[in-house]
Amino acid sequence: MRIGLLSISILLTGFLAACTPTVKVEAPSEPININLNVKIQHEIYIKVDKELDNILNSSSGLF
Amino acid sequence: MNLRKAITMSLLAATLSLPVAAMNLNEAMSALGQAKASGQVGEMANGYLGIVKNEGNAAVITQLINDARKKEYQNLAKKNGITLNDVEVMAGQKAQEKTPAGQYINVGGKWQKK
Repeated sequence: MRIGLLSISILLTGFLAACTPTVKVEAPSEPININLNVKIQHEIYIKVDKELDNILNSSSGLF
Repeated sequence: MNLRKAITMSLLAATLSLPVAAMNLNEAMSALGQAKASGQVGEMANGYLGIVKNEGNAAVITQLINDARKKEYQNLAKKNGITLNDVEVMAGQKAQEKTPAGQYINVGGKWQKK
Protein backbone atom coordinates (compact mmCIF):
# COMPACT_ATOMS: atom_id res chain seq x y z
CA MET A 1 0.00 0.00 0.00
CA ARG A 2 2.74 2.48 0.96
CA ILE A 3 4.89 1.36 -1.91
CA GLY A 4 1.95 1.82 -4.25
CA LEU A 5 1.34 5.38 -3.12
CA LEU A 6 5.03 6.20 -3.41
CA SER A 7 5.30 4.80 -6.89
CA ILE A 8 2.19 6.72 -7.97
CA SER A 9 3.60 9.98 -6.65
CA ILE A 10 6.93 9.31 -8.37
CA LEU A 11 5.11 8.55 -11.59
CA LEU A 12 2.98 11.67 -11.23
CA THR A 13 6.03 13.83 -10.60
CA GLY A 14 7.72 12.43 -13.64
CA PHE A 15 4.59 12.90 -15.70
CA LEU A 16 4.18 16.51 -14.64
CA ALA A 17 7.82 17.24 -15.32
CA ALA A 18 7.49 15.84 -18.77
CA CYS A 19 4.47 17.98 -19.47
CA THR A 20 5.90 21.29 -18.36
CA PRO A 21 5.30 23.52 -21.32
CA THR A 22 8.20 25.47 -22.66
CA VAL A 23 7.36 29.06 -23.38
CA LYS A 24 10.16 31.02 -24.89
CA VAL A 25 10.11 34.75 -24.74
CA GLU A 26 12.52 36.27 -27.15
CA ALA A 27 13.29 39.93 -27.56
CA PRO A 28 12.83 41.08 -31.12
CA SER A 29 16.06 41.45 -32.98
CA GLU A 30 15.10 44.93 -34.15
CA PRO A 31 14.17 47.74 -31.78
CA ILE A 32 10.49 48.61 -31.55
CA ASN A 33 9.78 52.07 -32.91
CA ILE A 34 6.60 53.81 -31.95
CA ASN A 35 6.06 56.80 -34.13
CA LEU A 36 4.49 59.64 -32.17
CA ASN A 37 5.23 62.18 -34.86
CA VAL A 38 1.90 61.44 -36.51
CA LYS A 39 -0.08 62.65 -33.52
CA ILE A 40 2.11 65.67 -32.91
CA GLN A 41 1.91 66.65 -36.57
CA HIS A 42 -1.87 66.26 -36.47
CA GLU A 43 -2.13 68.53 -33.44
CA ILE A 44 -0.01 71.16 -35.16
CA TYR A 45 -2.31 71.13 -38.18
CA ILE A 46 -5.36 71.55 -35.97
CA LYS A 47 -3.66 74.48 -34.26
CA VAL A 48 -2.69 76.13 -37.55
CA ASP A 49 -6.20 75.48 -38.82
CA LYS A 50 -7.65 77.44 -35.91
CA GLU A 51 -5.16 80.25 -36.30
CA LEU A 52 -5.99 80.48 -40.00
CA ASP A 53 -9.66 80.73 -39.10
CA ASN A 54 -8.82 83.75 -36.98
CA ILE A 55 -6.94 85.39 -39.84
CA LEU A 56 -9.72 84.60 -42.29
CA ASN A 57 -12.38 86.13 -40.10
CA SER A 58 -13.17 89.60 -41.22
CA SER A 59 -11.26 91.37 -38.44
CA SER A 60 -7.94 91.12 -40.26
CA GLY A 61 -9.40 92.29 -43.57
CA LEU A 62 -7.02 90.17 -45.60
CA PHE A 63 -9.76 87.90 -46.95
CA MET B 1 2.71 131.12 -69.39
CA ASN B 2 2.67 127.96 -71.44
CA LEU B 3 5.36 126.43 -69.31
CA ARG B 4 3.51 127.29 -66.14
CA LYS B 5 0.37 125.72 -67.55
CA ALA B 6 2.29 122.59 -68.45
CA ILE B 7 3.76 122.36 -64.98
CA THR B 8 0.35 122.89 -63.41
CA MET B 9 -1.16 120.23 -65.64
CA SER B 10 1.55 117.69 -64.87
CA LEU B 11 1.27 118.44 -61.16
CA LEU B 12 -2.48 117.97 -61.37
CA ALA B 13 -2.04 114.73 -63.27
CA ALA B 14 0.45 113.49 -60.69
CA THR B 15 -1.92 114.37 -57.86
CA LEU B 16 -4.82 112.63 -59.56
CA SER B 17 -2.89 109.46 -60.26
CA LEU B 18 -1.44 109.41 -56.76
CA PRO B 19 -4.30 107.60 -54.96
CA VAL B 20 -3.92 104.47 -57.10
CA ALA B 21 -0.14 104.27 -56.87
CA ALA B 22 0.00 105.14 -53.19
CA MET B 23 -2.76 102.84 -52.03
CA ASN B 24 -1.83 101.41 -48.68
CA LEU B 25 -2.73 98.11 -47.08
CA ASN B 26 -5.62 99.57 -45.11
CA GLU B 27 -7.15 101.02 -48.26
CA ALA B 28 -6.59 97.75 -50.08
CA MET B 29 -8.34 95.87 -47.28
CA SER B 30 -11.28 98.28 -47.43
CA ALA B 31 -11.48 97.91 -51.19
CA LEU B 32 -11.14 94.12 -51.15
CA GLY B 33 -14.80 93.30 -50.55
CA GLN B 34 -15.94 95.42 -53.47
CA ALA B 35 -13.19 94.06 -55.75
CA LYS B 36 -14.29 90.52 -54.94
CA ALA B 37 -17.98 91.25 -55.30
CA SER B 38 -17.46 92.91 -58.69
CA GLY B 39 -15.46 89.92 -59.94
CA GLN B 40 -12.12 91.71 -60.34
CA VAL B 41 -10.29 89.43 -57.96
CA GLY B 42 -10.83 85.92 -56.63
CA GLU B 43 -9.37 83.29 -54.34
CA MET B 44 -6.74 80.92 -55.70
CA ALA B 45 -5.99 77.46 -54.32
CA ASN B 46 -2.51 78.55 -53.22
CA GLY B 47 -3.83 80.84 -50.50
CA TYR B 48 -3.45 84.06 -52.44
CA LEU B 49 -5.65 86.50 -54.24
CA GLY B 50 -5.67 86.39 -58.04
CA ILE B 51 -6.73 88.91 -60.66
CA VAL B 52 -9.81 87.81 -62.59
CA LYS B 53 -10.43 91.05 -64.49
CA ASN B 54 -7.62 93.56 -64.47
CA GLU B 55 -9.52 96.77 -64.02
CA GLY B 56 -9.69 99.46 -61.38
CA ASN B 57 -7.31 98.82 -58.50
CA ALA B 58 -7.38 95.04 -58.89
CA ALA B 59 -3.63 94.69 -59.41
CA VAL B 60 -2.64 97.01 -56.54
CA ILE B 61 -5.13 95.42 -54.15
CA THR B 62 -3.92 91.94 -55.09
CA GLN B 63 -0.28 92.87 -54.59
CA LEU B 64 -0.82 94.54 -51.20
CA ILE B 65 -3.14 91.87 -49.83
CA ASN B 66 -0.92 89.03 -50.99
CA ASP B 67 2.20 90.56 -49.45
CA ALA B 68 0.39 90.91 -46.14
CA ARG B 69 -1.00 87.38 -46.38
CA LYS B 70 2.42 85.96 -47.05
CA LYS B 71 3.76 87.59 -43.90
CA GLU B 72 0.94 86.03 -41.87
CA TYR B 73 1.55 82.63 -43.45
CA GLN B 74 5.28 82.84 -42.79
CA ASN B 75 4.62 83.70 -39.14
CA LEU B 76 2.30 80.73 -38.76
CA ALA B 77 4.72 78.37 -40.48
CA LYS B 78 7.66 79.51 -38.39
CA LYS B 79 5.72 79.45 -35.14
CA ASN B 80 4.48 75.90 -35.72
CA GLY B 81 7.50 74.43 -37.44
CA ILE B 82 5.75 73.56 -40.69
CA THR B 83 6.48 74.70 -44.21
CA LEU B 84 5.13 77.87 -45.79
CA ASN B 85 3.61 75.73 -48.51
CA ASP B 86 1.59 73.73 -45.96
CA VAL B 87 0.11 76.92 -44.55
CA GLU B 88 -0.59 78.32 -48.03
CA VAL B 89 -2.47 75.20 -49.10
CA MET B 90 -4.53 75.13 -45.90
CA ALA B 91 -5.34 78.82 -46.24
CA GLY B 92 -6.25 78.42 -49.91
CA GLN B 93 -8.70 75.68 -49.12
CA LYS B 94 -10.28 77.71 -46.34
CA ALA B 95 -10.49 80.88 -48.39
CA GLN B 96 -12.17 79.08 -51.28
CA GLU B 97 -14.58 77.33 -48.91
CA LYS B 98 -15.42 80.66 -47.33
CA THR B 99 -15.98 82.41 -50.68
CA PRO B 100 -19.69 83.21 -51.04
CA ALA B 101 -21.62 82.06 -54.08
CA GLY B 102 -21.28 84.38 -57.07
CA GLN B 103 -17.63 85.23 -56.43
CA TYR B 104 -14.64 83.77 -58.20
CA ILE B 105 -12.39 80.90 -57.15
CA ASN B 106 -9.53 79.43 -59.17
CA VAL B 107 -9.72 75.66 -59.49
CA GLY B 108 -7.09 73.81 -61.50
CA GLY B 109 -5.82 77.07 -62.99
CA LYS B 110 -9.25 78.20 -64.18
CA TRP B 111 -11.50 80.87 -62.78
CA GLN B 112 -15.01 79.81 -62.01
CA LYS B 113 -17.93 81.45 -60.33
CA LYS B 114 -18.78 79.71 -57.11
